[in-house]
Amino acid sequence: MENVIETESLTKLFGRLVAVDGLSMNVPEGSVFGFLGPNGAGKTTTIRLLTSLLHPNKGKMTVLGKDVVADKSYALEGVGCMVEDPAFYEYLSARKNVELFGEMRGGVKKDEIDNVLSMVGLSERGNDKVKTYSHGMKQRLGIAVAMLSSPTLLILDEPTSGLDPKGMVEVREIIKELAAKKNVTIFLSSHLLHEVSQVCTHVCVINKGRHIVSGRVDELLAEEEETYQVRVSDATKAEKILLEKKMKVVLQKDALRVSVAKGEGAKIASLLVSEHIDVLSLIPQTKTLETFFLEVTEDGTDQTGKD
Amino acid sequence: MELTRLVKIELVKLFSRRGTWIGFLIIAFVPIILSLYFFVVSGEDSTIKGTDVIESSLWLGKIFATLFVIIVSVGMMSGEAKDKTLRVSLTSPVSRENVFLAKFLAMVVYIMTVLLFVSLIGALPGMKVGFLQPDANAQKEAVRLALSYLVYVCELIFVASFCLFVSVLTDSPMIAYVIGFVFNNQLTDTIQTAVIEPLWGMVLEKTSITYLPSHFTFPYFIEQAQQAIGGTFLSVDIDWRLLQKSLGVVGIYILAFLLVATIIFERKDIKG
Repeated sequence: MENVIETESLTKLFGRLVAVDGLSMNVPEGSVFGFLGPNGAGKTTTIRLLTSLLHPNKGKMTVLGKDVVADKSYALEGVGCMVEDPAFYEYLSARKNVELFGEMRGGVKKDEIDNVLSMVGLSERGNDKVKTYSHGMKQRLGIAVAMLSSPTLLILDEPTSGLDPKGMVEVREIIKELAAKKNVTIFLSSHLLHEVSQVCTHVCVINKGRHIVSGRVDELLAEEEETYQVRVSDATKAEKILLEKKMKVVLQKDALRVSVAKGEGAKIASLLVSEHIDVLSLIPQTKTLETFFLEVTEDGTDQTGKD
Repeated sequence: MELTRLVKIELVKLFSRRGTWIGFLIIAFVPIILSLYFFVVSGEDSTIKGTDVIESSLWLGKIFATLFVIIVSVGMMSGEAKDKTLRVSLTSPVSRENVFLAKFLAMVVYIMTVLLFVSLIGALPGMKVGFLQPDANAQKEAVRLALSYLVYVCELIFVASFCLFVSVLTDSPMIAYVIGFVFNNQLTDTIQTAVIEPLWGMVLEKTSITYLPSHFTFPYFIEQAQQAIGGTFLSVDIDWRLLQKSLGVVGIYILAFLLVATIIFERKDIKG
């Protein structure tokens, strides 16, 4: 199987509001797939469609090769999910909750319950009622339930929301471990671009329900040219000289932002020095997922060609 | 197999709630109250039998149980939708149809257990009275008790199916409770005909409720309701034809509510 999730022209309307607008995307097997978009972009609606909580108005989607619309009950076999804030039976213990949700998946052994609780650091509090849990602990429990029955695909919606910094690091480590050692494909929706850049191999960015761009993180962030922030003694004169040499220059408040072909960064300094302009600093600007995200979501057009 | 598993899960959830056991405790007081009525108020009435105490316990227990059935069945659907646990359940590889049917079947087990419990508690003061009068027919009494149990179980299953149906339509437990209480006029009707009228000698207007489905559904039960307070429900000659007809209508209502609710639930978007 090449793709564990495939959607084609997926559309969901809530009255007149188009929540998901003809979304087509593929999630490759074995990837840690970051699903990104600003608030209200349609991320959670898409996840709800994939987990058969919502019914699409149009389009196709398959999960682990099964058609979610035609066979919605059993398309989720082998899929672990955590959609938004996880909810539990507050009057039951965490262990009992895991056991019940495990039963819904066909039953789990005591060892497996111990194992998932231990993975999320809830072994000691497993027998406590969920109503005594903090938001972060419930979040961990949600991840534990999603990991039951050794899923081959894990769909996590904001898994680190509400966790303390230590918890965030632990969850990231769990995600990395599941992907690397157990070959679990992880579909991860998150607002935290730093987190996504740390764990994801692939990303898909959506905005206003539409696909903006998707692909491998390293390919999307690969740059054809290098950008530098340059501080000089005479910025206006320096801008003129660099533009004459066909370089891309943007005059900022107290510096220049200069883009040149790869490996030609040194030319900026030598050119300016030869024209008797003092170069105070020359700092390379690396493209981050954050800058990339802002770039593509501000533009807002489908950049499918970049796939 | 999946359905059996889901019913078991629903029962575990149901009987793990403190409220379920509080309900049982409240219902356990019903035979005690009735015993006081029989022994203190009608102490000199020599015609009362132990089976009358059980039957009357069943009848009065059913009134209380109706309240619990409405609360529990609404909690199973709307309550879970509001608490968002329904969402977690539905992201498991199970069919929605089975999830819904499991909730209904768990309610059937709950109803049968509640009424069996109240019968057993009622048997305790019943033993004190003496189960049968010398001239009573044991077989006839057994049939009467079994039929009473069956009729009340069916009546409460109807209440449960209606409340589950309403709960599928709305994710607000409060709205579902209100609709459940208003439409299950069997409860209000019974209280009116069996409690208010005899106690205060009032004949209340029933025009507003005669159009409700449950009023139409249970002509036999309504007819018998006043007899029940005296422990004489079904003690006169049983009109089998009317009983069958009434149970048949109840059965059709139950199936209709379940069918429509299942279809709606299958197609429903879970937004909460």
